[in-house]
Amino acid sequence: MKLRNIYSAILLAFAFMGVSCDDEPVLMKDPVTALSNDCIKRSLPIAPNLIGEEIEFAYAMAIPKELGQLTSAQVVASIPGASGTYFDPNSYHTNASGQDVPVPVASDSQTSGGTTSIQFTADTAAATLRFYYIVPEEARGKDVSFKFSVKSSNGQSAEYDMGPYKISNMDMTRNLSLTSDDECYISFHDNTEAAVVYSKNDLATDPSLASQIDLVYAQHASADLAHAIYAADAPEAYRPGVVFPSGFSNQTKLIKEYGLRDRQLSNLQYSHFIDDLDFQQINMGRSTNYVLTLKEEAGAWIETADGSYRAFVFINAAGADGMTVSVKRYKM
Amino acid sequence: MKTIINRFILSSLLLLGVAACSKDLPVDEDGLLITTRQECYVSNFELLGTDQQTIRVGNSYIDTVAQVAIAYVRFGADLTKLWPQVSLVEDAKLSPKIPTYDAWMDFSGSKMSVDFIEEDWVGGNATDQLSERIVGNPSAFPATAKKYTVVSGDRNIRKEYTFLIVERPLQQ
Repeated sequence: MKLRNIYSAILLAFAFMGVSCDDEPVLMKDPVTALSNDCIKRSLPIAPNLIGEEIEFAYAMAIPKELGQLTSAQVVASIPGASGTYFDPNSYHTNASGQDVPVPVASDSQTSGGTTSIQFTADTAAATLRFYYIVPEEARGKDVSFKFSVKSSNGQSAEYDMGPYKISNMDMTRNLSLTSDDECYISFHDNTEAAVVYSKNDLATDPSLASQIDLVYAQHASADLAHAIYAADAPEAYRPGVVFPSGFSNQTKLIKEYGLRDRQLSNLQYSHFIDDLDFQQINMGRSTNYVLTLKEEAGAWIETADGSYRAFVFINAAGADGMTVSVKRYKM
Repeated sequence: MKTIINRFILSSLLLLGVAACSKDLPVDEDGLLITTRQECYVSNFELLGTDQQTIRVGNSYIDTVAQVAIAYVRFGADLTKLWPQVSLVEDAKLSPKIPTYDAWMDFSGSKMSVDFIEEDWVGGNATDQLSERIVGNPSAFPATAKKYTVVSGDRNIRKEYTFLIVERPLQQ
């Protein structure tokens, strides 16, 4: 009985040895025998794609060294990018301290129509290039997709499709400066900018601008009022010393917000984004015609008096000499 | 001997179970317990603006005898879109209910105009002198003031509270 136990133990040990010795390296996949490629979108996937802003991709290409080298790469966008669309001619690696170190591998990229191409200058079998697409006006509200491709010296080629990506309808204007009693007239009716600020001087030279004004900004010494914005029908009691320009009549709707830190407007670390859908769905029924005590990281939803635009104003800074605001605007 | 001990333990456990079960209280239509508590009062009154921030200055004044709650609010605070929050004694309910979703309501009917006198405001906060004067004159309450009824834990006592808003004068 005892002997049999020992035998089986020894047998078992041999069996384990047999398994453990079988450790020759095994390839997880088939060996790479051709030019291959891969691509990721580096811009945050949940971030709305805005007109005039960039979408960033990283396109990786590689070929086994004995087969040849990379010769050229290109990307075809379904809607040609605006000026500033380009391939970064550098391939990057990350050094020990976490910094991206560029290594030039190609000549400057050429863009014609929707095609951006690049020729490799370095003798390289692998590279990752960054592609920056500037969203053009033509893409507003549409989908845009990309076809990346690469050619190698042995005549092989590879392709990678990205997208489609939805381009938002809204506009964005960042870092507008407001000062009390001077640069204090805000308009959301500009054709290209999400918001424009007119000064008292602008209004003196062109009084017709008054009809374009949607809101008036004022800063008060009292902490009860502090930084305030008013529509034309704001109660007089809550705007001491604020004189509205003649011809200012827009009864703009306002909803005060706090802590809605849109990443694109605030440039803060929070992954919150205001997209077209938010403007479509917000219930402006609970609006007022003035907003008091605005401070940093506060904001306001806005609907113009004619109902043609909705906007969100984010307060980047509110100090002793006025406010800095960023605006997203959606045409209804 | 062993079986006797076992039986004793078993029966005492059973007894314990019965005792625990007998504490079951009835549940009302909202899934809330109807308890034996007879306390019935408002413990706090809060008002939030559309930015989810409070519009109060200092604490709310609650008179549980006169059944009045007064919120003192910042000058210029908009009263047409407010989200009220009323804290109650344990197990009590509010009637009508304040919705848990999209409870914005017009509270401007509760606004009271008061002629302030010396010592009504100290350091930006309302004094008891002011609160007591307001509570002492119920005939001056606006007829449109919001009213909510507090229902006690045993659902037998109901007390109607009047909710008032007083705007602090502009601070320099």
